[in-house]
Amino acid sequence: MLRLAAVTHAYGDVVSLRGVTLDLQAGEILCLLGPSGCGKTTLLRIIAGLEGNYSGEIRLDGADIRPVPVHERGFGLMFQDYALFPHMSVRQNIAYGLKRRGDKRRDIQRQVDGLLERVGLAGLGARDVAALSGGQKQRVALARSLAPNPRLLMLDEPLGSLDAQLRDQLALELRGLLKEAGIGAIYVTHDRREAFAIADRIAVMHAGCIQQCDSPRQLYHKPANAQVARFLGLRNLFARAENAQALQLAKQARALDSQTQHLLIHPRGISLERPVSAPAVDFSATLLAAVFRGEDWDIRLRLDGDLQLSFSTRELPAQIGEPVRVFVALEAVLALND
Amino acid sequence: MRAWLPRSGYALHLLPLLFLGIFFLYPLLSILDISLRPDGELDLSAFGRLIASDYYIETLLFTCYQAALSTVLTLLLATPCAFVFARYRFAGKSLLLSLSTLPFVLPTVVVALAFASLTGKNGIVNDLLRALFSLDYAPIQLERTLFLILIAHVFYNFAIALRIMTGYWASVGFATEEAARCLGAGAWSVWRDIRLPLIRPALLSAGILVFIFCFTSFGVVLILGGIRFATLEVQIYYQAVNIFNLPLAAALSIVQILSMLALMTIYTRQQRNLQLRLASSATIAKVPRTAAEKAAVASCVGMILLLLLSPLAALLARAVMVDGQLDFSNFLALAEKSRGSLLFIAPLEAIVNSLRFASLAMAAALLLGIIAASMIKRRGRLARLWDPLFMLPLATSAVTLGFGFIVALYEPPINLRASWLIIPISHTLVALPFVIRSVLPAMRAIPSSLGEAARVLGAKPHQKLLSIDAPLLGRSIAVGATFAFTVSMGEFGASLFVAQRESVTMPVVIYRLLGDPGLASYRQSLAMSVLLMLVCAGGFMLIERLRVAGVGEF
Repeated sequence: MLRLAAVTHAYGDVVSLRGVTLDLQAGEILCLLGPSGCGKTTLLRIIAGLEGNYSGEIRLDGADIRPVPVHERGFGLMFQDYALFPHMSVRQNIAYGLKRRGDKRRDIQRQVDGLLERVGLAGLGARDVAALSGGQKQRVALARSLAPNPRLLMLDEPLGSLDAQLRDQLALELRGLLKEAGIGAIYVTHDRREAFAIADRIAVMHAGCIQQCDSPRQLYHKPANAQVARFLGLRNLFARAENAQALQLAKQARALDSQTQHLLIHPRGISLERPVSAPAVDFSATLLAAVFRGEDWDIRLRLDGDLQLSFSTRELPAQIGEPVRVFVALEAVLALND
Repeated sequence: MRAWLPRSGYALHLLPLLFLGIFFLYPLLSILDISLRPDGELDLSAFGRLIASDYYIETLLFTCYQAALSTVLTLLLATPCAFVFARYRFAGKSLLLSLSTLPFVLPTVVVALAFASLTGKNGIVNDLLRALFSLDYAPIQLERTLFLILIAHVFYNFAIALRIMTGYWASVGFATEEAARCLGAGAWSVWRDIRLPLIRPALLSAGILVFIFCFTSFGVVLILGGIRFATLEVQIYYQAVNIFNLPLAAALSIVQILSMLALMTIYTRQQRNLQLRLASSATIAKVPRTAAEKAAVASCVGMILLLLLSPLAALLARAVMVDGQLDFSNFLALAEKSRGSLLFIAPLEAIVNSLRFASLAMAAALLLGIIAASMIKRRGRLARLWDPLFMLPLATSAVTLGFGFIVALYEPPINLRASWLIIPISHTLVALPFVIRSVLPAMRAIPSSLGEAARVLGAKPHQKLLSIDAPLLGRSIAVGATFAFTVSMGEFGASLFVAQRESVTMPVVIYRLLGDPGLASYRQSLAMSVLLMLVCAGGFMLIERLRVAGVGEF
């Protein structure tokens, strides 16, 4: 549906986007995930038409939309701090896009009521937006951007200013609402939990480039490079030159090629019991540290031969300093470039 | 919180209170007295004549009318500029913003003369048009028109409106208007639905303030308009000085004072509203990229430069050019009293007068202002009273002050009729609020713990004062001092009442020279205006240089 090709943008001398190419299918939720300053918000603003001065192509259903001004694109954008109109009531905020579209007053009334119901704010239409809680504001902003039935909805860190508990709950709700409306969405966030919860596909951005664009599962299991692995918070990432034992392991797994600079021993492939289906090697090790996380333990081991590995396990296998046996599945040993 | 002054300094508090009592409240009460009891008995006939006569009602209406028109015109020009200033980043922006504040310190006589030099019958614009189209008459006839008064008012008040709105706009931010654009709002809808409603508090605040300034405008109206366009201010002056109808002048002053009180109340209320609505998010201005954005910035910059610089440049050109040649004879002529002049002294002596009075007023305003600021800084019921009390002179028109002086201080028990002291005293009164407003924020910004730390470390009260407070307040005191000096140099309204014969100041001399017949006097007034403009511009630059960003309430 939406297709970006080689989009490049700079603020003065600072290049913020370098040749971004991206596809969005109808009804798909795509997350732009990356640290702050990686260009994800800029990309969103370019798609919305709020940022000029870029090169590259943007097509919607095959048509070039670059010359179309913001207010004629028919896209929805939900802002980071919601940007609710402080001088309007909840109802007036939600109705604004419908009014601009020229809908009849009675239709607007009906649609706004429906939206208030859908986002769980029925009865709050007359409220002053300043009097709302953070979560309520978020819902008003969502309803406002959904109201004119946008062809594409963009959300810029929509849960960013809420507390963690509310965030998890709203992320699920949000996915439900988007899927129900069947609208294609681009969702910007720096929180990988949020991205995993909401996205069909995730594009990891770093320094103005898209590093990898995949399903959450694929992304987690097969990060395309060290940058992505680092951003996903995957442990056991080693520089190739740094650790002889890791290198040995990679050779065993036949994961190595000449350009490889990093080795990742994916935590999901490390266990205290021999894996049933996958080929694995085993090591004797010493338990260095263990942190109780509630549902499981985060532990760190030192293999005989000095390689240190971290992973989670359900049970604590030994006391600190005691020996343990550990298995590494060969498929979990990945060679990554920078 | 510890007071800024040591406890033994309580006696000092009497100083500013006595000063205000004798030289501000007593004259105001005298005006009230003379309006109600012109001959010692209650007699409301002066007020009766005010109400009965269409002429005075019209004067009041005209005062409001011209102020309203000036306000609308100022806001019309300042609103788009404020948007550009808040939204875009461009080279020279802060310089331009600071430059646009220059008129604030320029004396009204100088500005009036500058506009006459630009657009008057023999002004630069007419000269150019005459030369261009070989005309033998002046195509632009703005002298003694309301239009010229309005333009001069815009010149004065543009920066006030610009500053208030730019700051507010930047704090409100632009995310909401981007949201509106995403929801389908075009350029016009964004202005109507989002921008104007959002900055309404700042628009109102700026509007009321500009209205107040135009309501009390004296020099501009007197010189550019003459008695035909008499506002309340001009009428008070005319009744008191030309016709010597003191009861009527007093009654007019009472009307003026009451109007000002009402306006200030509205303004203070609106100001509170403005602070409440102020959001915390800071906006980062963006670089103009599209052709439309660049055009908006360019036209805004061009408009400001034209409005600000063209009259001043015209004044300068008229003063230093004689018959198309660079010639400083106008300045040399200041040493002589031109024949037929109504002046008692050579213009040069007025410069000496002005410098002398300004130095005295500065010293007095500093002393009283610092004590007053430390009184306001204290907490408690009394302190809350001091702040509006010491700000009152700012809300009282200069003409009312001057008029109050001649009714109250020209006869026993306090007779200053023959004394030149009355001039620096009146200037001190006008400058006092400026000193307080410069020093107070800096004083409030010093944490009381600093003084306490010094005391714990063994500093005696006066040692703490010298080693902690004085260095920390130094800059803001210098700003206050420069304000006081500059305000005194340019003060016109009150001086016109109280400056007599040998003790006239530069602005008064400029005004008198304008009234003199002959080209020689006119040229002297040009030269004098340029000198005064340079002094005030110098003071202004010093203030801008000294002012710590964010501190200072002007």
